[in-house]
Parts: sequence; C-alpha cells; structure tokens
Amino acid sequence: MRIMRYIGKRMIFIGPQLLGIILVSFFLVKLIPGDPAVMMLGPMASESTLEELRADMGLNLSVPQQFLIYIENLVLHGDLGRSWQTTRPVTEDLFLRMPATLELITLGLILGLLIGVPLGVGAAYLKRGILAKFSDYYGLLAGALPDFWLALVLIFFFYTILGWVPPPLGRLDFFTIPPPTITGALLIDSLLDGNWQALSSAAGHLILPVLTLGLISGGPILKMTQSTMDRMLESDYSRYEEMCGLPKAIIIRHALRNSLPSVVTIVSVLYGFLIGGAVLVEIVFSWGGAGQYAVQGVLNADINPVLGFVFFSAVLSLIIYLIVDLIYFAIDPRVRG
Amino acid sequence: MTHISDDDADARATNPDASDPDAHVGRRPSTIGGRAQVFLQGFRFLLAVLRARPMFAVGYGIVVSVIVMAIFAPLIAPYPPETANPTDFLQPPSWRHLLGTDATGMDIFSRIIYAPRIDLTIAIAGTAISAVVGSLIGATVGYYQEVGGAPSFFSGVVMRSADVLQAFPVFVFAIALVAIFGQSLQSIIAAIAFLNIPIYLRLMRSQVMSIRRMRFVEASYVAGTPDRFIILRHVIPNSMAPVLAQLSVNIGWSVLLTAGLSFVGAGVVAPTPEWGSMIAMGFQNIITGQWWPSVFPGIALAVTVFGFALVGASVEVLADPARRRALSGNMRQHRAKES
Repeated sequence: MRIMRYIGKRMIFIGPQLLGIILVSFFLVKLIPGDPAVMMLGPMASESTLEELRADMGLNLSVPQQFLIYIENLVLHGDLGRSWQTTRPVTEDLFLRMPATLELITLGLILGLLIGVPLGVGAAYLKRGILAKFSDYYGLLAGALPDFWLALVLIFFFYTILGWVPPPLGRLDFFTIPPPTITGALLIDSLLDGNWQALSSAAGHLILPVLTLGLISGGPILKMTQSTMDRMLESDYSRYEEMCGLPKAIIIRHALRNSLPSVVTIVSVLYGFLIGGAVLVEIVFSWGGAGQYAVQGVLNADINPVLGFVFFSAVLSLIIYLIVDLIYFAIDPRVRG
Repeated sequence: MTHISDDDADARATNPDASDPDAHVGRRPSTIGGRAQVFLQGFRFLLAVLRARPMFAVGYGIVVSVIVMAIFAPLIAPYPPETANPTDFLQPPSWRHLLGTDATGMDIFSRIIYAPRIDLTIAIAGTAISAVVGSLIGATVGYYQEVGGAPSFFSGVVMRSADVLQAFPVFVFAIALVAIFGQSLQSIIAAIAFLNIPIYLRLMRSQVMSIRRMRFVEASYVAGTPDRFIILRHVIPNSMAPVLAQLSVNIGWSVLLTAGLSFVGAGVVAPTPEWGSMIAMGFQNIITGQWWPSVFPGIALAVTVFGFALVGASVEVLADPARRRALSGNMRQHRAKES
C-alpha cells in the first residue's frame, strides 16, 4: 500500500512538471528565427498566399494565444500539430520514430550493462590487478571518445574493410519487406510476424549502433558499479562475512545485491539522456529516429516536431523514473520499510 | 589547490573556526623568502604526486601541449589551415601531408593543429562563464534557502527552474539555443554556458548549505557584516573545492559537445578548422575507404578530452583530504622502494 501512496504522490507533480517543460520549450522554440510559411511555400510565393497560410497555421496570433491553442489541442485531442517537412501529424511521426530510438538505446544500454557491471565488480574485488587498471582507463576513455566518431571508426572496420555488416543506411535493407508495425521495434515485430529475413536484416543493422552506444555507456556504468562495490566490500557486513570464512562468490553476490540501486540509477539517468543524446549516432547510421527528427526540426524552423519531441521525451523520462522507483521497491527492502 | 590557498588562508585568518582541509598550509608567510619556500614545497609535492601517479603527469602533459599547440599553431602548421588545394584532394598520409588531405585538398595535420584555437576557446569560455554565474547563483540560493520568507521562496523557484532546464534533452536544447542566437562563436559559447549552469548551481548550493551553518559564518553575521560580503568573502572561498574539481572535466565535456554541434551543422561552420566539423566532412569518405579525414581529428579530440579528464581526476584527489592522505602513503612506499 505504501507503494501506491508513493506513486500517487508522484502523479500529482507530473502535471505541473510537464506543463512547465512545454511552456519553456514553446517560448524557446518560438524564438528560433525563420518563417515556416515562407519555408513551406518557397521564396516565390505571393504575400497574400503567405498571409493566408499564416492565418491558417495561427501564426498571426500572439505567442501566448498560440500557446493556449497548442495546450488546448494537446489536452483535448492529443494533437501536437503538424510538421511542415513531412506534412504529417507530429504524433504519427513520433509514434513511428520513437520506437526506433528506444529499440536502439535499450539494446545499447543492455550491452553497456553487460560490459560495465562484470568489469566493475571485478575491478572492485581485485583492486591491484590488471583488471582494475584496465577499468580505470576504460572509464576515462569511454568518457573521452566522441560517440559519432567511434561509430564512424566501427563502420570503417566492420563495413568498409571487413564487410561483415550491412551499410549504415537505416534499419533494414532496401529490398527487405518490413514487418507490420505492432510495437515499432523491428526485432520484436519481425519475431511476431515470423519474418526471418526481416529479423536478420534488422539485427544486422542494429549491430554497429548498439555496439557504439554500448561501448560508450559501459564507461559510466562501470565507474558507478566499481565505486559502489568498493564501498560495499569495505563495509562492516562484508568484512564480517569475510571473517566468518564465507566463500568469495557469496560475499560478492551480497555486495552486488546492495549495489544494484545505484546501478539502476545510473542506467535510468543514461536512458533519459540518450533519448535525445543518441541523435549523433542516429545521424551517422541514418537511423530515422526521434532525435534526428527533432534536430531536423530545429535546423529548418519546423517547431512542432521539436516541441513534440521534447514533450515525448519528458513523458518517457518521467515514466522511466517511475519504473526506477518501482524497481527500488522491488530490490531494496529498506525502501519498502 | 595551491592557487586558491591565498584566499583560503585569508578566510581562515579571520575565522579560526573554518573547517580546514589544508591545515598544514597555515598562515600566509609574510616574507618573500617564506613565500618562495612555500611555493617550492608545493612544487615538490606536485612532483611527488606526479611520480606516484604517472597518469596524472600524462594528463597535464596533454593539456599543456594542446594549449601550446593552439598558441603557436602558425609556427607549427606546415600549410595554411583554410586553403583548399583541389589538385591534392584525399591524399593518404605521406611525408608531404603528414596526416593526408581531405576532400577539398586541405592539409589535415595543419587543421588539427589550428582546431584547439576554436574548440578550447569555446569550451574554456563556456565553462568559465557557467562556473562563475552558476556558483554565484548557487551560493546565493544556498545561503537564503533556509532563511524563510521571500528569499526561501525565490530559492525554491530557482531550483525548480533548474529542474525544468535539466529535464530538456541536452543536445536538442543546445541546437535550439544556437539556432535562436544565430550561428556564431558567441552563441555556441552562450549555449554551452547555459547548459552547464545548473551543474555549478547544484554543486555550490549543496556546499554552501552546509558551510552556512558553521560558526564563523554566524560570527560574521552577528558582527553585522552585510550578507553580500559574507557570501563573497567567507562562504564562496570555502566551498570552491568541488567546483574546481568539476572545471577540468567540464571543459573536456564542452569540447565534446562543441564537436557534436559542429557535426550536425549547428556549430562551427565548415572551412574553419574544428575537430567536429572535420569529422563531419570526412563522414562520406570513410564509407569509400578514405579513413584519414575523420579518424585523425577524432583521435586529437579524444586525446584532448582524455587529458582534461585526467587533470580533473587529479584535482579531485588533491582536493579530497582523505584521498590525499592515501596518496601520500603511496608516495612514501615509492620512496621506501627506491632507497
């Protein structure tokens, strides 16, 4: 019951938080210079048609009025406006692109966990060994490498030289028929559809971007695991276990169990960051993800996609933080109280 | 640490109660000879640290050489950095062009040498502005947080605004800021400063909230010192340590962000030598096998960020009394082994 009350308390704050984020981002992107009407119709359009379009899009109203209309559409109809670049409703575009981004960063973070947690545990346990040294450098290096550059280097090795992976152009080969959209994540959709060709093609295209994100995000996960494990292994209960002569594996397992909350925290922070932060990797692989969509929007004064993206990622971050809190409840008996 | 100990010593001289991480530095020596001696001691300590942790030396070496490279770029670079030579395009690395040429025939080695001029200027200026502004706001907010009444209310408003700012997707936010201010050096600096302010705000606030309760601050308050003076003179100098540790790491991060902005075309514009835009220019060539236009600038970028991260790590160790003690223990072991 405690957990229900806790979630309820969180829900109260979600509304105002979202409103604040939309408010700030609305006035922010409205400051981006560039007239969408001119961009849509081209420089040759007459003043009267431009004026008509502006009136149609509500651009001749004052900015606060436009904001009220935007909020009204969002709350009453779930409508985030249209992108003039794709000429489609932003919600549709985002429902198409967000899963692409989420599939990418979820797999990337899983790989990051597979790299970071074992290395972190090993480095914390064997403090003076080669593993600890390697972990130190890996952590620093992962923080120093630009992800878009790492992606290019991986493309060079695995595509240009070795030819092991498909070209970095999107999520599927050109001639592959995409599976019907159910979740939007191609791996899951093609599995559900039983479409093995699409599955292998999607998996092939995922390898390099996932590897890039996994290698980079492995760094912070490793550092967090290492420092928490360090603290746990130094703590009284671990020393006591050691004195009692318990096997190493059990001592490590208990320490790891107690380090999990901070690992979960760093993963959630990375997840929230990567929703927008994976955009450079998306661009390198022509992924067609949500971040790329938003960046295109900013560069072309197409504000609805930008606002929609900010809204979507804010909602997603809130959902992620909520899930994280639920995980805390599941793994940390102290929170349950 | 040595360069702030002057202010620190001052604060301590007036407030013997200050929590004191560098007790051994003591009072400011009055004679010139005494000063030189302290300086020499500090220098020796630094050397000993570098011997115990050679990676820190590598970090300092990288940072110094990148800065020297930027300053003396015209003397080092064999070719002008922005002159295209269409007959010499996409040459692989050779003695004539050490790191090859890009698709327009510009010499990559020369451009890499010139690039830190832009990258470091943006990163250092952006970080410095955000550190000063963020620390000042953070100190004020932290100081007034628990006073009650209007000041506390405004502190709360500032913190909630920082929450909202940090909820934005960093990269999209940065690009939007550059788009608003127009694509210039100043606007990239402004965007980076803006993004970093919440970091320093939070760091400083949490420090100040604990320092504020200390007796020397209360004593100063009772003595009738104006708040502004207490904050600037007593509170800020005593809470600088974590901010200083953050600075170097943050510079590296800002270099990465600048490069990322240039990579999507929202940062430094093409012919100007900048690592991110150089990587972007070589993007198309890498698929056809010409790796050098992208790979070398990336290595330069990574090495630079790596260097700043190491310097940041060293400051973190030196600013933390417990870890410094551990390090001194290490150093003694070293000496024992040598003798």
